[in-house]
Amino acid sequence: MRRVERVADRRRSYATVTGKGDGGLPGALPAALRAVCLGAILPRLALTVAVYGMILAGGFVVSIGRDNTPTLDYLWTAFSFEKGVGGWFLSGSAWPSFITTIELSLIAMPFTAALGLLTAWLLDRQSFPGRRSFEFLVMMSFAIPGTVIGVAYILAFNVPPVSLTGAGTIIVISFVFRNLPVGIRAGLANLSQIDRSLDEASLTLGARSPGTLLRVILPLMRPAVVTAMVYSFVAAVTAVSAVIFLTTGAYNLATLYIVGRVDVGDLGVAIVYSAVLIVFMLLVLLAIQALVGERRLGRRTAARPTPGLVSVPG
Amino acid sequence: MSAPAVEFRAVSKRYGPVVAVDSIDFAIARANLVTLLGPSGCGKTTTLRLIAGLEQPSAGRILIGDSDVTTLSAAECDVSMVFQSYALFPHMTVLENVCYGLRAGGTARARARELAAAKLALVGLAGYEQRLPSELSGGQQQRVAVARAIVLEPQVLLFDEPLSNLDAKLRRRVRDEIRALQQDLSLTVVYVTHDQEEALAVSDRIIVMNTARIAQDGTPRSLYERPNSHFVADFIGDANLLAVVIERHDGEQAVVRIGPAVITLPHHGVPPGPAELAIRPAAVRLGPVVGGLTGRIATAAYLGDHMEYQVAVDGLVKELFVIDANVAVPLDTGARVGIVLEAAGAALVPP
Repeated sequence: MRRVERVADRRRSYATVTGKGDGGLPGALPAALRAVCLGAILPRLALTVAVYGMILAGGFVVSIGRDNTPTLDYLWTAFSFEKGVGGWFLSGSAWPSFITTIELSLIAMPFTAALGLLTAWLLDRQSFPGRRSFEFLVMMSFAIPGTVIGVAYILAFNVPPVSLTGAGTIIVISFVFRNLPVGIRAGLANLSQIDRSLDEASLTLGARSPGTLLRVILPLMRPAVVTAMVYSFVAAVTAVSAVIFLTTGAYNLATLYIVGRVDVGDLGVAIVYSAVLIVFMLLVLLAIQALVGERRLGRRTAARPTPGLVSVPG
Repeated sequence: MSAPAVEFRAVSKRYGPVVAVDSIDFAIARANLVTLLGPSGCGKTTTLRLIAGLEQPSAGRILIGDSDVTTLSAAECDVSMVFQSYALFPHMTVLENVCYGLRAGGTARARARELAAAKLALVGLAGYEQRLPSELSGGQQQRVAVARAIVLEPQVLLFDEPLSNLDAKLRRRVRDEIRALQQDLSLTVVYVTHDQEEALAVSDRIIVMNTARIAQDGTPRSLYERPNSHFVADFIGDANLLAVVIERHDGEQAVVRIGPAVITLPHHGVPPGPAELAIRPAAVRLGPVVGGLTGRIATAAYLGDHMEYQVAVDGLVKELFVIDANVAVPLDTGARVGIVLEAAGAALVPP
């Protein structure tokens, strides 16, 4: 599942859009260097394709390598649906965990992005006492092993006054705080590319901080919004660490279901489930991209003044 | 007599141990263009940001019009600013940029668009309303920034080095346009620059700053002709500064000895004794050797409409920088020359 995560955010997670730049084409590499680069990257590419090909193909044959007879049995076991007395219903064994996973991840996504970007803005553009310690604390949740956090959640929320274990809420909370640092980092990277004089211009024009945040900063932060949402969603779907202590019969998750299938030797179902997850996540990523969209900064993306290019009308 | 548009009373700004602005006082009259002039790090930009409300003073009071704005934020001050980088919102069209302040202040959309379009026409950008800032040239972006600032009809309009991102040719033109606009609309403008020529050209008054303090405050002419310190004389107009001795006062005039030569010029209160003489490069005449100051041409450069010389003067340590309009018969490097200092281009500076 780590692989799923990686392919999903390889491009997106580090996407930044510059507010400045020369806008020129990169220079051609020397032939020798080019050969070295290709020599390094092509085997890697081949390996990646092989691994994903295996996952996508492996679920649709009886036993990959030994009996390559195509079959849809595993897919059907996991994701079948039938028409019963009350209409269509989902009878496959993977449906409950799949739906729970997607549901909880989708709920966590906007919260993670919003909280992460707001935190980034606070850290970058506002000064308040204890700012450094605050930054350290929010980044901490990334450094502590997930399983430790899982145990901590159980200790903290298993008994009243705040009893949350056994419910979906605690899984969502775990997702949000676990993935918050990435939203913050993406936000900080993006904010550092937005000239502070834009904030100041907005202030001197009479807009206060909330208005400035909403009308000037947020529209320019779209790349960070996409990054934070995509990462949050993908990381939530593929999480196997903290959540192992938080799932229950009613709230099982995809990753844990897959681990369970592998444990009992039911490899076919495990592989086909992985394949479905990959495809589904790609669709969600494309949907987020289409929904949030790109920043509109003009045909020349670099917003640098270029004096003398266009004649000034009298 | 109305209150000054901007008034600073013993205003200081400290960043930890660093003093950016050190207890300065000034008052700026309405409908004046006042320049804050000085080298990098002299506190001029901090002073501008204090007026804008983007910085809060550590001590002292700031008044705009009749009200005390010392503790008000930038959003509450009736002041607009044209930023060095223009700071146009890159995701908004030109019209949206100019409307922004009006909309933030609660003006209805249709009315805001009308006012914004009028101001765009005023700065010569009618027809550019739907462009994005990235589709405009530097000069056009600057006009948008000006339109965005003046559409709010602020009590004070601030310019932070507005010409520094423009090429040399455009600079002179935009400079004149800013001055014309200021006079047509009777705007109170505070203008920050490090370029003394720019300051002399546009200002009603110049406040020269140095190391967080005001070095001199006056009209362009008074600063140029009567600098009150070595710093101001050196910073404005490339003056040569020579160590001299004022031998005696003779009414309004002072008799001044420079090595073997003596000249007479108004003393403006500089007492007898050691002093400095600031002499403009164009006020040094080079000619045949006839006694008085003599020297030798150290370097000569042809600049089209004038010659520039460095002259090693006999008996003086420093070389003189000389501008000579005579390009037809240039002097050669190494030539011996007689030197005449014209009192009209010279001023005495306290040591």
